[in-house]
Amino acid sequence: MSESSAGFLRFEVCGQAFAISMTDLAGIRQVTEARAAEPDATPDIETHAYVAPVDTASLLFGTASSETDGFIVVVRAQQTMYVLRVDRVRAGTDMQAEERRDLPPLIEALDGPFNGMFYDPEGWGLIIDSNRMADLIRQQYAERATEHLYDLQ
Amino acid sequence: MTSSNALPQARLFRFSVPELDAALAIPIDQMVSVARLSFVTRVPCTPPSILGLGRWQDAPTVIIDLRLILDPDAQPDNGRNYADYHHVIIKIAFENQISLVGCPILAGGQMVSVPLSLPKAELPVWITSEAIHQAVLIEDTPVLLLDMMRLPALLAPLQLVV
Repeated sequence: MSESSAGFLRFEVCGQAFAISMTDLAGIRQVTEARAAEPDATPDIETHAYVAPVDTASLLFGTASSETDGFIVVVRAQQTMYVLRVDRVRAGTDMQAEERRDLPPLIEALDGPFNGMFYDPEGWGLIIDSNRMADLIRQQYAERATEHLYDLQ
Repeated sequence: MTSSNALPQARLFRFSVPELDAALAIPIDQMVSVARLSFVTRVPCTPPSILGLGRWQDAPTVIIDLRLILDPDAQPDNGRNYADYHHVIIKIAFENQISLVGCPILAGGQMVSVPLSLPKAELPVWITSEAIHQAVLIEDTPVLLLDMMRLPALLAPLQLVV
């Protein structure tokens, strides 16, 4: 049995499992309320200011999440912080090497923001590629106004 | 006694898919099984014709909707639970690897042995896909012969769906 394992945070969006490398993770917060955006607010987690979250359900599945509460996952990629709004964070962060799989070539060729998959009791989970996810977020959110900000302090 | 004059036969798997008014067939050497899958996991940022990922004999299997590939006017059916269906599992070569592809099918799929030379049938006007090799008559019924080896080219164009 392989002893190798890597730290991953597993979380769920729209009932589907995802994982992201702990090396790209800057923080996790539980969300209970949102603060209205301030026009001059500067998203910057390092100075404990307010950071705008990405509606991950909408970004990935094109549908709004049905969850009222949840978590925000702060990801560091391309010298920037991105905040993903997720429905729940699953227990456990280790993922054994044998649990992980490469994406099938047909899926890999589509160049989505994933670089692997893992087996989850309810289906396959997808491992997020932080850099490609950042590209997708910038592409989709470039023109959108910030609606809510969360205090990450 | 076996006749030495027997015509060469081709073996096909004939099937139909949900919401597509056409009989389909593939050469039997392109398929590996017909199976039920316990789940189909959606994969974001893929074309609508990719329904997600299933698991067949522990191997990741790309689940596709042939209806969306064959009929350019078809719309995705996001409410359908494709794990409820039987799937024909097909192997295709892509980037020097064998990939497994699954297609949800309706009950009633069957193996048929047919002469190598079959009478041609007219292609339905709505068929524009290069995945269709030709249309033939089998037992007086038009059947569309699929060439699954062309499938990667039909799925490959980048098309972010968000």
